[in-house]
Amino acid sequence: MNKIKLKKLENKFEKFKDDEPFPEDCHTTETISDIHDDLAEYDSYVAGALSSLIKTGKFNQKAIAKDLILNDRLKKIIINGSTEEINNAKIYLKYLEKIEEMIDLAFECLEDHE
Amino acid sequence: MKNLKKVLFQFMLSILIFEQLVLADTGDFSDADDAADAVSENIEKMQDGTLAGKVTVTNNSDGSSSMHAEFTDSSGNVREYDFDRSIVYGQALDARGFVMNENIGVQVRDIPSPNEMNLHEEQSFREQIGKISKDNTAVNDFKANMERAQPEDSNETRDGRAQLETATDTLKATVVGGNELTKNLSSKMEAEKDSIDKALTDTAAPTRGELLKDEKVLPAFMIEFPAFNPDQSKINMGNRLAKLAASDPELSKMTAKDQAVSMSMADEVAASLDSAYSRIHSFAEAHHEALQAAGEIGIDIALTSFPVATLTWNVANLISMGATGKTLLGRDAHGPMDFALMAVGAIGPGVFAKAWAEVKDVAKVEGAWDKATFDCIEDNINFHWNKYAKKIGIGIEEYTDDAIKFYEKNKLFGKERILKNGSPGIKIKFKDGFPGGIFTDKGKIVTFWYK
Repeated sequence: MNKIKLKKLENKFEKFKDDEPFPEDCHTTETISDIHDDLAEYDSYVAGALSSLIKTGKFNQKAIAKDLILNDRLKKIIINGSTEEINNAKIYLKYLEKIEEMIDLAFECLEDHE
Repeated sequence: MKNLKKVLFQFMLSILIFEQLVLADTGDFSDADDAADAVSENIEKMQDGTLAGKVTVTNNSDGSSSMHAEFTDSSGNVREYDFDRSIVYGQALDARGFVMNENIGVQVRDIPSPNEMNLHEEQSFREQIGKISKDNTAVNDFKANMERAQPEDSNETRDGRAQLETATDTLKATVVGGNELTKNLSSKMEAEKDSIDKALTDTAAPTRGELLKDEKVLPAFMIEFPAFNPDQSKINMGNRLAKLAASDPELSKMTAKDQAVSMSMADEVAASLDSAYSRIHSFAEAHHEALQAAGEIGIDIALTSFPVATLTWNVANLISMGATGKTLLGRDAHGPMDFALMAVGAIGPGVFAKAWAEVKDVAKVEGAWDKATFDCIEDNINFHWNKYAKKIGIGIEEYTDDAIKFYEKNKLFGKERILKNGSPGIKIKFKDGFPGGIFTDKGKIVTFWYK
């Protein structure tokens, strides 16, 4: 495990946890509202695995994974949705991308063992 | 200055030549007018035949006249004189009677008296002196000599003039050298001030670290200014100018005025550095206050600069910083020679720990939550409370109670779903203005939001 990368992940995760409130449910449409709920569960699911990795060094490969379907659903709304949907989708996508950045960093922790 | 020297040179020569050419044969004279009269007298004697010699007068086309005279002096030497208007050209003899093989112009008419000339020269010199310096020893010496010099004190006058020229040249070189040095120093100091400002704008965002205090690892924040090297700035900024001036011959040449200007600039840079420290400290304090406002308890802030050579800061480092902490762990090193200024503040016991300490029924709270992928239930609560409740001022216990009540009241309206971990669960949510949440099929909280 790359300890320096792990330390970076820890800093990033702490900042994400403390300073990044989860976006509100917009209720604009059922679709976008469902995405909110899915994102909330995914957020919790990945966060638990990252927290555990930082704390114990255990890498939960199943949980530390990008949700490509969720990402794709948001991008489709950004292309085809109404203005209000697009605005909400952008907010959710931005949040999702922060999770994905941490996932990338988590994998970097495994790349070289120092 | 060259013209002045030329006039003086001619004047001195005129005195010398009169003494040697004419006065030797016609007696001693106290000034040039008397000497000129003696020459005229000798010429008249030659013209009327009482002095053996020949005089030829020529009328020039421009209306002027010139005259040639020659006679044999008491030593048997032939002397020749050419008078052109007021100028006598003669084949001169030196003091020992040898012929000087050059024609030297001697002004015998319209010569200011020696007294008048010296006053004029002295006035001119005074003006020159005033332009250069009022406090130069060499100049003062020359002025004293000029005042003391009598018209016939030609040697003393020449010495004084030589002193003035030397002093003038020295002063000019000093002023020019001083200006150059001042300009160079000014440029360096301005650059240093700019570099300090830039270093502070390049400040990295505060990062989190750990501080070992009383054998407990506490979270800490670090604010780095990687481009700011106060030690180097101290060297660069020139507040050591005085020391340099003592050891550097170039600097010691600087005039008092230039030194004062340089010192003033050094003070400016020193003030700029002080300001930098102050700004860094303010920056650290602002962050510190923000943490306190957020409920985290800041313990210490300390500023330091030191080489970051290892991954671990040793005890001496932190003690030298005035911090109460012992060792900061997990610090990324930039390199063996890298310097960094850091503001370090220990934070403890932490927002969540503080909030957790206020939970009355820990068993009930812990029992309400699903552990999910977290290492322990407490971590799950920590994550969700930070995300959904902390910002709106709701405590951990209240947040958990709200989730429990929401589930109990609305579980019949929930929609079944397979959770991310593959187990069965339920999602409960309503339209605008209502909370929502995801629970396990046993009613444990997976996540819960207010809006």
